[in-house]
Amino acid sequence: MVSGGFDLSLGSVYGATGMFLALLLVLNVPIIVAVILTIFSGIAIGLFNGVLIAKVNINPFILTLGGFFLFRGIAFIIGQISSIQLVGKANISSISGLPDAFNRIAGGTFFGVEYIVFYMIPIVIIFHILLTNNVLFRQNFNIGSNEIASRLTGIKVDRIKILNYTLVSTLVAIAAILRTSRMKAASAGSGEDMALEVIAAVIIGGGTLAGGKGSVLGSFLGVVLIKIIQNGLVLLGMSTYYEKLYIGAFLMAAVLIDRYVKKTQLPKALNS
Amino acid sequence: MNFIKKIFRIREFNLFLIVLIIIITLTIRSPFFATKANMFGILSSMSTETIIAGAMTILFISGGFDLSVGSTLGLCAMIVVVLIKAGTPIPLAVVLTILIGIIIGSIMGFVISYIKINPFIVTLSGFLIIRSLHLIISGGTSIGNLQKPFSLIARFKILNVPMYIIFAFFSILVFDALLRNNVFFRNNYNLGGDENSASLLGINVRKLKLFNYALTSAMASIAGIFLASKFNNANIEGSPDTAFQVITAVILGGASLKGGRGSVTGTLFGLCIMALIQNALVLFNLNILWNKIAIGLVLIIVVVLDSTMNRKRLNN
Repeated sequence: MVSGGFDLSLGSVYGATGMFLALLLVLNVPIIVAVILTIFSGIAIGLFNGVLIAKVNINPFILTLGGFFLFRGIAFIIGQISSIQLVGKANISSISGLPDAFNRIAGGTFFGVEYIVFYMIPIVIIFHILLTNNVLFRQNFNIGSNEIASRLTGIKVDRIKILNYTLVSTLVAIAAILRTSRMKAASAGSGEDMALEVIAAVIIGGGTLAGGKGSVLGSFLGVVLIKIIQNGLVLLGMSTYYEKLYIGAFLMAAVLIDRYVKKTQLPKALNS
Repeated sequence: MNFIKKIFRIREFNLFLIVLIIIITLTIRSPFFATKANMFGILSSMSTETIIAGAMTILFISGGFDLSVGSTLGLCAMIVVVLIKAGTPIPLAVVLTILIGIIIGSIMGFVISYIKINPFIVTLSGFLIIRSLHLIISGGTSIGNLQKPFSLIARFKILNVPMYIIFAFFSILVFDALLRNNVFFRNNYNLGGDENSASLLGINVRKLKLFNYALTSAMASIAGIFLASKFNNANIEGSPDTAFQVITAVILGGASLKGGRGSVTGTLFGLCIMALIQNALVLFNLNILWNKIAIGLVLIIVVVLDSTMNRKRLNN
């Protein structure tokens, strides 16, 4: 989103890659091969998105809206195929019974902290460092602020865009692998609201749809906020029906405060 | 020759050809397609989206965008049912529900046009908040089984055609006529083409934008009332995919996210293509799960073709 891009399809890709992985595993494909194939499927989906958006110049919203439908459909089709093959009846939308060795990748705790957290923290730190210090990644700020000017200064805009979409889908595939391992099952409906939640988190964390702004740490805190809301409602014994109300209100408040600060502080800063 | 070339450049004509080809193929391949029951099935399945799609097209032409229509539809279906259960006279309940739709749209339109916040973000927040309100009002269960007159709103038949189908197609024809002939509605093309020059032309840009959002939410609330009346029931799932389906039809119909382009006729053909794909899956006994794959593929193919053809034209 810093580069001005956008991906609506990630929840569907999450469902589809998770189902793909689980299908491979129950077909007795070795675990390492299955994991690598799943990551490759994520890379392939990202390349497909990136090439069409960067080279054919298609609006990312529309293209990933197509992907939103397409990959959710594929997730359910995989569920159907595998349930016919394995159980002998149709309309089962989740796959379980995965090998134990696979379930240990992200299932289990270390000093009382779930393994999956130890995957999350390095990823956040690495991407934060890349976006603050690495020249290639910092060029995303230029592209997001002014694409034409970036092109003229010699930034390889198309390549970076393709890299961005590939990274997103690859990370989605990795998330799907970890979740499938932690839950010991994959379900075709998983990640239904994921894209909108992730986008809300990025915006709460200071990103904009127009591009040129945002930080990994901010987005991470946005995710934390959303999860605290969800968890807090449970702890307070309130109905989870209120969950979306608060997320929506926070999102709205974040952009309104941002707008207010810009309107009042920026002229002051310019005058002084 | 030139004439034929020109005609093929008209997007609506191409879409019409696609619809025609699908209809002819289905008529030949399946004996059940051209039956009266199946035709009514298709019209009925697309009626909810059709009611919203006309207003959404106008919104897209003006450069706007609304993600929240599915939530509004679900909320309003729930509100009208709750009001009637509480003893409100039916006409009053319907009017109140439409008013609530207008208020929802006006709030979002106000934030978008007067405070100038990106419509995607505003309607995304709207989508979340309205969805929550829907669940809270419902109390966690579907509500149904209302007295007879309420279900007549949608099911009342004129010449054997149920009211909700008549209303859907009547409303889309009205929007088409307004967008062609009415100055107020035609201003949306200027607004979507270039907002600054539209305001220099003397168009009240902010009011027009606010009106568009209010109109879209009002149509969503009407669709909700019809849906509740059709099934005599308001459920708690709502219809999360409605916004995406309507937007897909509008984009298939030739509108662009940047605004300034699109037509209600095109959108109607877009809706037809989506309904026919769904119907074909049912007729050939394919799993309905293929529906999402088909819609996704059609959307991607159409925009890729669009983009490459535009580029060729520009190069020429």
